[in-house]
Amino acid sequence: MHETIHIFLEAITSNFILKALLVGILVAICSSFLGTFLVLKKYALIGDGLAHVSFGTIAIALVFGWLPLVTSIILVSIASIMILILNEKTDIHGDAAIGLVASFSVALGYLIASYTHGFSVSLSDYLFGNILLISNLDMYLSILLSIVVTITVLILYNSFFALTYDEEFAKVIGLNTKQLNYTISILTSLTIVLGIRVVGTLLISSLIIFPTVTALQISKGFKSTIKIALVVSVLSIITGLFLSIIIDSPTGATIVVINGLLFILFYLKKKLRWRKS
Amino acid sequence: MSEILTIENLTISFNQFDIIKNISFSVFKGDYVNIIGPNGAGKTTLIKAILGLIPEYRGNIKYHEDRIGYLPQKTYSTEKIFPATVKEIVSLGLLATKKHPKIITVSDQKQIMNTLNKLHIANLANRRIGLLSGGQQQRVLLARAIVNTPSMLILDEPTSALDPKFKKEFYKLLKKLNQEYQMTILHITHDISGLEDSGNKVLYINQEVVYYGKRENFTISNHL
Repeated sequence: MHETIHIFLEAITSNFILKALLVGILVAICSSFLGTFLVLKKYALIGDGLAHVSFGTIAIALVFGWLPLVTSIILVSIASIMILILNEKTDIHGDAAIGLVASFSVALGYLIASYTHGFSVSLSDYLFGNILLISNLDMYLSILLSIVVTITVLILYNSFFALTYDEEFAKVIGLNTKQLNYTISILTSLTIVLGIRVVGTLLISSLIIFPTVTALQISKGFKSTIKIALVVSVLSIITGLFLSIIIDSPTGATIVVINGLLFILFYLKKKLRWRKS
Repeated sequence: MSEILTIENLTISFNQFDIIKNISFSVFKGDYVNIIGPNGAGKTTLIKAILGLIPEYRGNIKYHEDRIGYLPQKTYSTEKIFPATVKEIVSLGLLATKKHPKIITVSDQKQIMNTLNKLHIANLANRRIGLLSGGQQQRVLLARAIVNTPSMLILDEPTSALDPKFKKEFYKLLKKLNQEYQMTILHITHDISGLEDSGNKVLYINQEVVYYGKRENFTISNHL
C-alpha cells in the first residue's frame, strides 16, 4: 500500500506524467465531443482509418526529414477531406471510402520507407502509444486543439446536432452541410494525430467510440450523451494513466481496457433498469 | 388569395432521362394540395426541388414566402438508439431563422411546448424519440416542421408507416392546421381514399402534369 502511494506521489510530481495527463485529458475532451457526432452518423471507423493514414504519414515525414507531427496534421486532414469527397462524388461510401484511403496511405508510407532507410523509431510506440513521446509541442498543440474543438462545438452545437440526426432536414433549414461535415472531419483529424501519442495508432479509435457508446447506454437526450461521454472519457484517461504507472502496464492499452470495463458497467446498469421497469 | 409558390416549366433530368418534364402550376395561400401519381412519377423529385435539395434543374421555382416546413417520408428517428428527446428534435425546426450560434432560448422552449400542446403530445416532451410508437414519432416530426410557424408545409407520404387509426387522426390534424391556422399544405399521398375529405386541390403528375385543379372536379377513374 505504502509503495503504491509512493509510486503515485512520485508520478504526480513527475513532469512527463503531468504532461501526459494534460494531453490525455485534452484529447479525451475533444474525442468525446467529436465521437458523439461520428458514432451517431455511423462514421465511427473514420478514427481507425485516419489513424492508419497517420501511420503512413509518419513514415513519409521520417523519410523526408519533415516534422512528423506537422506532416501528420496536414496529410491526415487532406485524407479526411478525400474520404468525404469519395463519399459525395462517387459511389464509394462510408467504410469502403475509409478503407481505400487508409490502406493506400499505409501502403504508400511503407513503400517509401522501404526504399530508403526504413523506420528509425520504435514501431510499437506508434502502434500502441508512448507517453514518453509527448513533447512540449504536443502539449501546446493539444491545448490549442481543445480550445478550438470546444469553441467550435459550442458555436455549432445545434447545427452539428441537426446534421447528425437528419442531414436532409439540415439542408432544408439552410445549413451548409458540406462545410459542417468538413469541419467535423478536420477536427477529427487533429484529435486523431494528437491522440495517437497517448494510445497509439491501433487503439485511437477506441477514444472516439467507447465514451459515446458507453454514454448511449444510459442517456436520454443528445446533450446528456455528450456530457456523459465527456466524463467517461476523462475518467478513463486519468484512471488508466495512473493504474498503468502503479501496475507497470502499457498506458494506451490500460486506458482502453478501463473504457471497456466502464462500457460493461453501464450496459449492465441499463439492463438492470429495464428489468426493474 | 395571394400566390405563395409558382413553378414554371420545371424539368429535372438524371443521366439524360427526364424525371419530370415541363411542369407548371401555382399554389395560393391557404391551399391544401394533394400531390398524387404512380410510383416513379416524379412526386418526391418535385418537392425536393421545391425544398432546394436538387440544385440542377431547368425552369423556375419562385417562393413568395420564406418559411417552409418539411415532413419527410423516411426519418432517422425510427432508430431506437438515437439519443434525442422530443423537445430536442422539435427545437431543430427553429434553426432555419436563427443566426450562429443558433442558441435555443427560453422563449423558444415556450414555443416548442406550445407546438407540442397544439399536437397533444406535450406529455412526451422529455421522452427519447426512438422509443415512441410510429404514430407518436410522426407527430413529433410534424411538430418539428410547424414549430417555426411556416407559411407552407410540405409532406412526403407521412402516413405510409401508420396504421388506419393513426392515419385518420393525422389527416384531422392536417385539416386543422390548414383551416384554423391558414397553413398552405403540399401533401404527397398514395392514400387515394384520404382524398375524399382532405384538401381543396389535387395535382396529379406522371412526369408531366396530368391534372391540377379543384378536388371536387377530380375523378379518380378518369385518371388512374
